[in-house]
Amino acid sequence: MKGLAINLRQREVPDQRKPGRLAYALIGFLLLSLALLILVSTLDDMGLTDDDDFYVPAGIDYIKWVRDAAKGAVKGDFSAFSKAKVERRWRNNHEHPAVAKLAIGFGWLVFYDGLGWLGQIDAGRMGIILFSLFLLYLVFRLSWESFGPYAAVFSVLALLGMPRTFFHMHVGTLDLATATTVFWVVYAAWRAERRRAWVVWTGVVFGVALCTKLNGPFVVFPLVAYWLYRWWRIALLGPAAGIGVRRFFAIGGSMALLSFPVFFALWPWIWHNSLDKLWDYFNFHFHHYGIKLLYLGSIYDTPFAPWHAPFVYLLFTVPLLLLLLGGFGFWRGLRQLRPENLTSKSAPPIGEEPGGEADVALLMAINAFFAVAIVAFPNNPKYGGVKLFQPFFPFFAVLAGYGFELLRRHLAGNWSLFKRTAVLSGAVLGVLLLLPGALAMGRVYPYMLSYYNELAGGPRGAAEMGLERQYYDMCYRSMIDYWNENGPKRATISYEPNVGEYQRTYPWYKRDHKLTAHIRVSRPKDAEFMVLTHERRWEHYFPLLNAYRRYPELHTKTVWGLPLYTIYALKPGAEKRKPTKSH
Amino acid sequence: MRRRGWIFPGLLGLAFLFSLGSVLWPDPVPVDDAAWGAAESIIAEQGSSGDMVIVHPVWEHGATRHFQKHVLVLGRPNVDSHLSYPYVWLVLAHGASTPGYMGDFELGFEKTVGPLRVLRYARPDAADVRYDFFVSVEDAKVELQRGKDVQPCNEFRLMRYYCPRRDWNYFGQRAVFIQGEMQNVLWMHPLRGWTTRARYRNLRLSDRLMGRYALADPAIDANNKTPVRFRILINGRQVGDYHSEQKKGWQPFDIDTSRFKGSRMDVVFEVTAAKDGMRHFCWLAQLRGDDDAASESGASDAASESGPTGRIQATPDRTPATPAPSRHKPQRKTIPKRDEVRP
Repeated sequence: MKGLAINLRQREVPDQRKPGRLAYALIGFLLLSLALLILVSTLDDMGLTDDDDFYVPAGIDYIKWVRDAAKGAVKGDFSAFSKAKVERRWRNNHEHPAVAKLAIGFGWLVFYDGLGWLGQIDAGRMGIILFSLFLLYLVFRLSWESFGPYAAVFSVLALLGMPRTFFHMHVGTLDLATATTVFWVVYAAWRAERRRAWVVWTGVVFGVALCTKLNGPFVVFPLVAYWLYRWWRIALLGPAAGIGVRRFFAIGGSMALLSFPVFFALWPWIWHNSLDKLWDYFNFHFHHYGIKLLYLGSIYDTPFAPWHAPFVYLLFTVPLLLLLLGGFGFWRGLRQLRPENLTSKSAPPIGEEPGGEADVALLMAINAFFAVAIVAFPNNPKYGGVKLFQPFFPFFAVLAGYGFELLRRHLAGNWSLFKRTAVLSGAVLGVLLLLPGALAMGRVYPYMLSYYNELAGGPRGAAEMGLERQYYDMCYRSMIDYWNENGPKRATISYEPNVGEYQRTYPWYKRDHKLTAHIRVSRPKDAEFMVLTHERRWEHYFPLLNAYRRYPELHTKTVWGLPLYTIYALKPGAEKRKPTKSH
Repeated sequence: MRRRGWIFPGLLGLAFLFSLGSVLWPDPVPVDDAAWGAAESIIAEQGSSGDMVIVHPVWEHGATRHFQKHVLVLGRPNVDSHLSYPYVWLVLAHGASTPGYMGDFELGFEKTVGPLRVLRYARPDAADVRYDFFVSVEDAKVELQRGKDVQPCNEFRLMRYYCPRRDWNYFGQRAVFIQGEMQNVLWMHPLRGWTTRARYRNLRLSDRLMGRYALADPAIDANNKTPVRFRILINGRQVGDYHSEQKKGWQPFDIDTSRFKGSRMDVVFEVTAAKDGMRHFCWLAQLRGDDDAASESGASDAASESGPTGRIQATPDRTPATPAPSRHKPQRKTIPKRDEVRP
């Protein structure tokens, strides 16, 4: 392993991480603007998940209550806070706390109800896009302050270049939001090491994370693990450590004291009958039902998939070059735990000083590992590819940025040309490292959940290996386009293996005027057309395939050569109702 | 030391070339219809209509338009469903290697046709199997009976006969957890007050009727502990009478049928339960012979006499625009259970 080392001391500019506030503001603004442009311009292409129909209506309910409560409060009318009104508006999807759904509701309020620029679903999803921008900002800022501008830019682009996370940045689900708030807690705790005001903020932010999704509380474990490491080094180095142990107690105390009031304040559902509702909340998650997962050719439900399933899914869903760079950053962080570092009382080298960049990398590495390890526990459900450990990805993106920075320093230290043209060569290097992943994303776009990296052999190799080629009961935009462009003007269709979710998602396309044909999603026995989604995690998938393949096949959607769904004409003559194109 | 510092950049360089090559490499050309047709002809010639056909790689979708008389699986079968078949065909394209999941199946035939490799595997005991009730589920005639009231279960879809009273009260193929393992079984959920019966008619009996029965795992944890009575009759005469046990795992049965050997008779399986909640009863069975008599379920369908072939019946060929015969129509009584509600 030592052979892989790049010398940390090879920095051409000792403190080049602070090129000035103007550059920071300008680069940050441009980068976030670019991200916003990309996310908004791709919003319409991202299919509807079966979760959108849970969280968007809930978000709309919540924000309507907020609006009514605020209007009433201005007039001195506080009836919105009555038990009846709170429970009526906050009952919807009360098994999850409120923050992400409030953001979705905010997006709906502004972009649909207020400005009228977007349909309801897209407007709601704008709330998640705003969350994404905030996450990208946090990644940018932490990377900039810890590793310098190159790492900051690369980290942001790396996070955007992770296809599964890119997808989650668009959809009305809680996963990106919880990734954001978990990262925010770690960021706040990191800043609190140096600034006293952030001690208080950390407690508040932890409350926000608790009120986003159940992933929130688990961020305590990696933080405590990191603090124990810091404590150990403080004991070794004494004043040279630059920080006292009391600061960590203060941060922990703030989290313990402030988080629950914030959690309580942000979730009106638990304002009345609080204990019962909190019990219901925890009970729901402690006894979470199984959801099917296809993993290496086997279907898992209950009992859940083996512990290594999340790690394998992770290994195969991050573009290879980012995986290597992030892995390198991860390893550099873990090197802080090597015995000589934990026993030496002499001043550590540049970069490895307490709270220095290697310590930040360790903080990121511990958090990245815990984000996946929590899901890997045998009693925890495992499903939906990498959905459940989205908090992993921002930490890993920062580590990829760190890995990139170490590489860049190494090249600059050894190639005078690279050093002389630092900005240009850094940019070229970054582009080259991001290029294959970006091209691969282009090949699967917009079917990001079907992305698998080069190690898996792409989507085809992963499917052959027995990994899920899609999940979330995706109602793709291309399905809607098919009916609009090729299908009959009026038809009854159905889905297999799981029609129920599509009966919920299609009406959103209709309401938002994206589906112009009169398409009704019905039970299979009433349907003229059948859409068979190729999802082997349903054990009756092959019987279904064998039943439906006897009918005329109208269209098969493939991504990178892998079929995702096939449309069959079930009723005699159905396929002739309008000429179809081949795709 | 200096050279070591280049290991990671070098690794990244190689990964870059590999990644770029992977993404820019053109997709392989799909196997054409002529090659699939040729493979189909070989299987029709060498095998029988009930054989399972497994195609690799999984993304070769063109295969779905062929092998219409077979149970087709693309890629590794779910829940090792192929192990329930005495004979399995593998059709390998694009240089796909022989998969490792064939277990102790033995390779008996191999031929290359164009870009495809066609291989036939047989289970070690395939020669002893005269008839497999799982593979031949379509041969069954299923009904409910309460006193003189007999209600046929004629709705056949997804290799199951659905009975008219409850949609879980069906007889047919299903994958369930038994002792923590997902397994292919014949599902036969009893209905309170009724006898659920599957009759396989006019089978030529051999030495033994062997099999096993179980309650699926969720039924073991259920509140309802009522045993399921499972009876086996040959030409109306009871030859087996079993009661499910409230514990996980299979219970075997082995019935000596040598006294009926060579005769054609009806074999009937019946289930009843005083309370039917969560009685997820399943079984598997085969007729087996120790001699070299022609197998009803083997590759020598042509040699068998009239009566059930012992295999899934061939589906009539259809023109592309013609829907399947009504008994094959994929109809459902209810919306599939929504077990995908996510947090």
